[in-house]
Amino acid sequence: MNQTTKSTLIWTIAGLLIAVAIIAAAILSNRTPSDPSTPPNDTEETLTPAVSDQDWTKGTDSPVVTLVEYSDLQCPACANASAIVDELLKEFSNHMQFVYRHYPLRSIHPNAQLAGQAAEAAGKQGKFWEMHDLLFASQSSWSSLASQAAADAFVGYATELGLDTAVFEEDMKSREVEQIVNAQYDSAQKMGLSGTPTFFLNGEIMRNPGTLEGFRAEIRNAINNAQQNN
Amino acid sequence: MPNKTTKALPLWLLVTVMALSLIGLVDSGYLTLKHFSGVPPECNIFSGCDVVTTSEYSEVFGVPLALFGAGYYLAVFLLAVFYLDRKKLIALNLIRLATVFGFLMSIWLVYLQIFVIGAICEYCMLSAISSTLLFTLSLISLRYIKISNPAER
Repeated sequence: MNQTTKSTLIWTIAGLLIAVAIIAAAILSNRTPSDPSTPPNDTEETLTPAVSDQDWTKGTDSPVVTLVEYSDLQCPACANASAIVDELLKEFSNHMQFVYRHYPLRSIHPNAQLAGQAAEAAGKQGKFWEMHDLLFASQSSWSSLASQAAADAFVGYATELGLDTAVFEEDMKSREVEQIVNAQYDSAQKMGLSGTPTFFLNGEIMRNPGTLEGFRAEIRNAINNAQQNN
Repeated sequence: MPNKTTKALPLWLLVTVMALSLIGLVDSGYLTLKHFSGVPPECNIFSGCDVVTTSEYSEVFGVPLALFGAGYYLAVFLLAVFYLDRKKLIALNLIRLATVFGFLMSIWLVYLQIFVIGAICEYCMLSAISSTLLFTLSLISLRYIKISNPAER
């Protein structure tokens, strides 16, 4: 084989390999993403357990539609979703109830579990939602902290909210509060939820619309259906 | 003027370099495409959200780091092919230089993931591993052909 033929062969193969590599990357990136820690198959469609008085709720007490969110306080997407939910609660204040449940993705969000416990601890002093909002609003400032520093930051937020910080700190680290978060985490795992945030509308899992407009349409739809049935 | 102790670079070494750079190209190409397509619909809202690839460290001057990675792997691959074709020492030396940067960059990025962002992205770790292996291979290549060797062929 002479030099020119050899060169042509080498560069042709090289070009083909690069093309294959780029196509492989494109195919991989087009697959639907899922949290690697949980298998995405066999996702339960129905909310289990159903909403009860153990849950943190917001909005009307006699709801036509109930929106349940499994969320992770350290997840940026959940912080974005939280703004959407606030808007929905305003728009549908007479019809909608919102329920927050913990699903801290511990493997990728080291402070998420403790953040959930901080919200629960604040809840014991009647300020669950205030802490929830504050944690989402300040997410970027505590996300990357080491766990002790994050705990200190959470105590700082408790002070800001006017809570009894000694009680708060003890509650946040208590077995009881830990188990509340864990029980909700376990329920999410049991249903096979593949990531956060995951929403349930009237107990049925939602294909996430992702935008305020999308949510608005689905909720309006659900309200109309409910009212036609009455 | 053949140099006294020059042994030819073994083919396995060159082929491994090419294979690793292709793996790196697929990996960082994947992350680049994800970065451009995926931020709002896939990663940012709904589904397991990915702190690392959406972190402030994932871009430099608005260009995703993954794209630099893809460029790096593509360059290493092309240089290796060029060396295979022409046996020009300059190509080998450029690969060595590039893998030093690739290795240092990987150390920095792994440090960021573990100690600053506090989350690990497995695709980024795969890239760190392939960069480290490429660096190791370029060190091994010094046993065969020294940098100082003037115009080997």
